[in-house]
Amino acid sequence: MRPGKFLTVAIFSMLAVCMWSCKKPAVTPSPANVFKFNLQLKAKYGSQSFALNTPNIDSSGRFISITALQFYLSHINLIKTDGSKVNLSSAAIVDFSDTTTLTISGNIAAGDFTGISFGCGLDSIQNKSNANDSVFPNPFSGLWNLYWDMVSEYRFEVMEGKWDTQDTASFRNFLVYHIGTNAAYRSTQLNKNFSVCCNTPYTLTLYIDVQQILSNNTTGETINIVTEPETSSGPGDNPAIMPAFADNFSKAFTF
Amino acid sequence: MKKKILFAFPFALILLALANCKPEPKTKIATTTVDSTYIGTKYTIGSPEIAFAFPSITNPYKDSLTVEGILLGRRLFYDKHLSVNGQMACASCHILSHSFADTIPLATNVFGPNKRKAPRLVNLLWEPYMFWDGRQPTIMAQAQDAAHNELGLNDSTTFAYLQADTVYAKLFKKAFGKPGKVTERSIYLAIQEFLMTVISVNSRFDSVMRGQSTFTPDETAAFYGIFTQTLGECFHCHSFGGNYLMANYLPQQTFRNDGLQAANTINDYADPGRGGITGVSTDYGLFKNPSLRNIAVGGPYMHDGRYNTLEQVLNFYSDSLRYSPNMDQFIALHIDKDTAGNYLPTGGMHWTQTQKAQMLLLLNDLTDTSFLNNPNFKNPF
Repeated sequence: MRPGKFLTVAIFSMLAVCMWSCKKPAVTPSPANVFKFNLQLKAKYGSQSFALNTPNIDSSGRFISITALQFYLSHINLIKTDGSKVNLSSAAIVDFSDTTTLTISGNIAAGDFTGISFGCGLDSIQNKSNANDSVFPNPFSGLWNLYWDMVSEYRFEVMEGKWDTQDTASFRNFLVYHIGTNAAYRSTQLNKNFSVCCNTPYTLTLYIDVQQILSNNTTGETINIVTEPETSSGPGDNPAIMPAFADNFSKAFTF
Repeated sequence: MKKKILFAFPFALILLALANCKPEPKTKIATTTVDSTYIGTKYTIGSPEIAFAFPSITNPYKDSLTVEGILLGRRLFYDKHLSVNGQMACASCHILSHSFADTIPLATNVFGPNKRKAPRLVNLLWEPYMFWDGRQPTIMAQAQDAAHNELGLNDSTTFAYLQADTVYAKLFKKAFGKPGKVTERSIYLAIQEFLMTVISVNSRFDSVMRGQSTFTPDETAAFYGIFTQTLGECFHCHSFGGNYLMANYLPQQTFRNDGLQAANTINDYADPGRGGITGVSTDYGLFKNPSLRNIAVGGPYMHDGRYNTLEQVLNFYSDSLRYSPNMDQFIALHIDKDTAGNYLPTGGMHWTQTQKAQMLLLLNDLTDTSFLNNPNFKNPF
């Protein structure tokens, strides 16, 4: 190569490198066909409304007040009409004491969908995430209080509450369900036709029916809060509670 | 030479162009020092064992520790001149061989008997609340609170003594660079520096967790079969971030009612605990979760020191739990009930004698003898 030609090439290369290396303002491309999608979580108790620390009446006439409801949803996908999946979130925490966790958002390319699928809990790889490496509000942060010290894994679902047969003045009985281990992971798919399009954020509301967690019409499984009030999914616990809870939980969602 | 210039020229231009790129704005980090003349020797808390066992240190004073400040703090901790009658020091109730706990049920301060047991002082660096009722948020505030309310420290008398004492004059100057000037803040800051270094991380339990030794079958049964299971329920209060030698200091979980005090209403509590500080009805009867570190040498036990031995503590959790308002749910689940669902005056984990013996082994594994014999923690007088 002649020196003059080399010089020309070198200068233009250099300018290209320099322009590339100078920090530019962060601008995320926003294709015209990508729209915001919100998966909004709400809870109900059968036909009753639901809120933490607010009494509901169960099918046996008992007063029941849930004091904590937290869980992981993972691999949340929107299912397209051709069966392919569009990922909304690989893992999200839902904590009904923190409203900021009740909407899972993402940018989704416009399209027609037939439903959503998600995992209840974390897959076996996610379940071994290092809580200390994850800074709050990352869903794997230990500060969500779902990290399970004893096995270095995560609780997938936590439901705590109190109940009484007589009144709501002094709930005298408690229920504590801490569900975890890889055996508790369940997958769920719900069908609903919807379209994401037209410059408008799309919000899909997903209900969890707390009553169905304890007694589920689909699975036919019931957890007796009198005789089965607690599990930490450990080997010393009643072995029937954890799988029944996991089954019921995965079938407690509706649109 | 001409070729060399031609080749060098583009690279020179690149350097020039890069230099012209607008630099990214840098965040200015504010720095604070105790004094502009401060010349202390920096002391850094850190070791592989600490990194393994504890969360990262967020205490804002961690980067301003000095060897001189720590030595001064230790001397103040052991100095009886800080009390109004010259008879008591912090160390009078916080005894090193007992993991800086008292050996009697209720501490006796210069004003008379206290209503609570003087607790162990260990690994305070990671604790967000001080005292059984959590009334102080920092070690320094704790030191100030105790100095005034337990020792009756008189500011003017104490300052005069410390300023007149030639040893202290030198120590304060070395620590804070303020010759002849002793302030209340510098006293408690020094005590805080000392207590920040009071770290225990070398018990047998630690070595097992680090994989340097292994549990015996009985210890395994205690830890994996009782402590970390609903059979024991211990882990709900006595673990944090994977560390079973820390208490649970997550918000809303730091304070608990473990069924120690019998009460029908919140007004029946002999000691309202956290409720006495916050005035919130649901806080009555709650006390701070204590770490179990060095528990075997830290008796008498509970906030009121009612149990002299660990055997008595285990018997309490096994068979003597009583229902009371604001009781922790994990405890309440183990209170016995009649057929109508009413709580009976009996309850507990109902451990066998073998299980109690296994738990006792585990609790003794939490003793860190290197901590108890650490010369850096000993009385300098």
